[in-house]
Amino acid sequence: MKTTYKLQKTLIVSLLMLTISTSCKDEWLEPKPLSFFTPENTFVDEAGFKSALASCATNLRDEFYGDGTPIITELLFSEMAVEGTTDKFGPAVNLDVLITPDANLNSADFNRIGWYWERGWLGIRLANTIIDRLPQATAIKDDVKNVLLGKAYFFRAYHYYRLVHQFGDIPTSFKELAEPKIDFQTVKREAILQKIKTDLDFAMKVVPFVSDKGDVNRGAIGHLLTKVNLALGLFDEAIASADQVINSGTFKLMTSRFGIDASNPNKNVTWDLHRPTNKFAANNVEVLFSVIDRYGLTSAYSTGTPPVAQGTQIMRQAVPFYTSPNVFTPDGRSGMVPGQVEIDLCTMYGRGIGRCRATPYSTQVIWDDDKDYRHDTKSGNWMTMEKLVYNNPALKGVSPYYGKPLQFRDATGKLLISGGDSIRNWFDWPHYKLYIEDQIRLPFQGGNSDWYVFRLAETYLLRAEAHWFKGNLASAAADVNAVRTRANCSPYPASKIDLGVILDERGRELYWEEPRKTELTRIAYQLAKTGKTYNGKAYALNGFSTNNFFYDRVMDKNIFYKTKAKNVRADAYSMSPYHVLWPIPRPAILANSLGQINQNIGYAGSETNKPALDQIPE
Amino acid sequence: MNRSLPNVTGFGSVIANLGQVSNNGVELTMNTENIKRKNFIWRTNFSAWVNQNKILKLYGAVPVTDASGNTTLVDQDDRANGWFIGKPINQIWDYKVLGVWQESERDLAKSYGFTPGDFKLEDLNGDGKYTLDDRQFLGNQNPKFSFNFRNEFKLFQNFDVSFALYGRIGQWTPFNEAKNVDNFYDRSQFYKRPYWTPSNPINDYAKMMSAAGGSVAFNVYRKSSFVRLNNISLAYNLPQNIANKIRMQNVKLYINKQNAAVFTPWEYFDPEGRAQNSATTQNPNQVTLVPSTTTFGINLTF
Repeated sequence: MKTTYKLQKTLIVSLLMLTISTSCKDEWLEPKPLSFFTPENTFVDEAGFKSALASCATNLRDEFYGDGTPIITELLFSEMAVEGTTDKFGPAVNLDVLITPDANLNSADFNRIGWYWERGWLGIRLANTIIDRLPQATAIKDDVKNVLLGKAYFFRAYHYYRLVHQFGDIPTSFKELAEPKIDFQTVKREAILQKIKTDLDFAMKVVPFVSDKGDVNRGAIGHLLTKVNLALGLFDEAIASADQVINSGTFKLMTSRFGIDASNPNKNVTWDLHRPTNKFAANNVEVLFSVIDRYGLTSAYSTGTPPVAQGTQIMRQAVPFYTSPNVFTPDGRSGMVPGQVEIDLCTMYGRGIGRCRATPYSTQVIWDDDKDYRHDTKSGNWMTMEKLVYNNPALKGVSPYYGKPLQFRDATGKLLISGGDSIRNWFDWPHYKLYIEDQIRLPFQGGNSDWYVFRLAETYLLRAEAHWFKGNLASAAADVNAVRTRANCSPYPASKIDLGVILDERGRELYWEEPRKTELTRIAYQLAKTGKTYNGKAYALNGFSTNNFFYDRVMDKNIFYKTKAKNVRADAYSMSPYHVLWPIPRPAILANSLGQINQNIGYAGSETNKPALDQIPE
Repeated sequence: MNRSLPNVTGFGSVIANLGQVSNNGVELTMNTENIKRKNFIWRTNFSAWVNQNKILKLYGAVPVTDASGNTTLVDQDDRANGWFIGKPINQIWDYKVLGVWQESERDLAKSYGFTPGDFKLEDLNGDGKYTLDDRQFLGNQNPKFSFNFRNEFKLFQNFDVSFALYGRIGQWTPFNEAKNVDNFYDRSQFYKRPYWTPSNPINDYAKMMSAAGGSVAFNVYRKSSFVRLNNISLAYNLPQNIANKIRMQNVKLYINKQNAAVFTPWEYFDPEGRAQNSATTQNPNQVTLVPSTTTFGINLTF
């Protein structure tokens, strides 16, 4: 005890002396960072601006990736799909109840409306920063500067285009902010569209057609400009801007076999077009704008800290929950298991949870041509439940149904899904589009892969739409048929062309690519503005939220909302006309204490709306 | 502090060095020697405090024109953060939970988008829907009254006995577990918790997978007042003469009980283990649990 004490004393004294003798000079304490990642240091040369543009692309990309993928929310506000997670309250089944300004609007377990709102504004902020910093970058030549500016305009316009068709009239931000701004005002949608049209018109002149995959080019800008022209009701200009892309010579529809599986005679060009490695192949000239996500790159889509690559997870989202233990054989046994068993279905098709439940409209009604590659089961492009087989190893030697095709009902007509959840467990799917080999997980959920945002096939369909609005059915038919014949379909006669037919073709070609709700709302505005009739009905901008094409179309085609079908939880699928516009998330309105951001009609808080501004405020 | 911004800016909040908060309260500390005799000494430490904070300023006054056209300078509340001028920082501003929708109220519940078994919120202005105007100030998440209390006894010169209590009284804490939505109950093991059914029409817990925050985001709050018997210890010092006989300077035997008991109306794990403002914390894995420990010991000094 006493010795210890003495030792301690000696130690303390010697430590004290050490401290005194080694004290340092003040300048040693001054921080001398080796580099500073600040705007002033980054935005000086072309490389700095290019890296900022890459952030814009990454921000835009995430719509197509991860669990509870945002694009699902676009699809379930349309004819194409409904929410398929039936094991809880929260997922957007009853839209009347669940879609409110105060609800949880950004969660895999609810919906992603708030995600679109937040990411849209984030993208606009990133683009604004580039646009406002470019003039000060004196080291960059003017022509290079213009290219960078045009690309930044593209990203800003992309987000505004989406936001005004998701949320209608919205506030605006066209400047890099240096201090807190809490006095936003709602601006009319048309004024915003006018502004981004001006920007895109400029970008069309300066940005070249040819670019690396993932970068912005004139094709992508012309494609977006076509959408904006349509939205403004400028159909001649829409045709002209689409012409520029289609006739550029740089981009063409892929009509012959190419890429990784080109030598496989059982496949076809539709299959080739959607293979992950073919999406960025140099000879793929159909892609106008894609987002980049490749396994192994640090930029691969990932979440968490430390980041874990997540990939698309597309099979988890959009393939039915066929591995459910509730899928029974006719002799009353649980028929399916996930995982690498002898009959390994999950490696062939992915383990789906049926979050995005494709409607009969998208899996059956629109398929009117048996030769259609996109709905072809022989080549394996399209999958039906009956193409799967009972794979539960426990059945082996016990049940005659092991390895036999799935049955929906037994011989007596009894449903073979225990609990009866045919919404989540039983529907067909486009395998050629959803099958993304998983580099990360077993069973497969959908791995990392580039994704198409704009593809020339859609440009044709946009031009067809402009022709239809102008009453030029022959030209519209030619454009629709360009897409159809590539997929091995017979062409339509001009007399068959209708807005609905064009929308059907979009549904066949652009599942999980087009933002369906955005596009339907855009078309609803166009019909309301022009007064052109559809199905014998005319619409008006006045009372848009109570009577619009969007609602009529979804009700006509989406049988779940139409019949108010109930899922196994007894929650009814339900939608109202005001859902043509999503609610402005409440936090934005709350924090904007010196201005007023309007709420959309139909949602709580819209009673105190003020007229939206006709002009974008300075 | 994080000043909330309209996310139209591309930012959710900005770090700002603003605002002013006042703290008021009374603190009392007493150290007493109650009894001092040869074979019995009793000492007490007691301290208690009542502290409340109040937001005086946030971002500075700005001109605001009211409905009748008068312009005055007003400092704005930060409603997105739940900060209000004149209110405590941790004031709760939320919907008031009245109970659970019962079968007899099915139609009324439906008009609000709920079904029996979901929590019933107060529609303050009676307009038939739940909106921001129905949010109210529901109490403070900070305790109204706190105390520490310690007693020490020395008996027969060789026995040391002591115990310590502390209490936090009057605070409200989020209890979203009552919504019964934090698990997939069909495929997980879970702590047993009451839940509403038509034949068990209770009013304080919702049904399993109730509509919790679907159409309207709300939190359930419960009082989390508690008094904790934090420490009991008993020690025996061997008399010096006996110790010396066995060549020891000192011999001490003791037993200690940490976290011996908690007295609280709180029903779920530990009332103190809940981080404040943990409105989203529903997972018991995220709740700090305070273990109860017992220590036996012998101190020998040679």
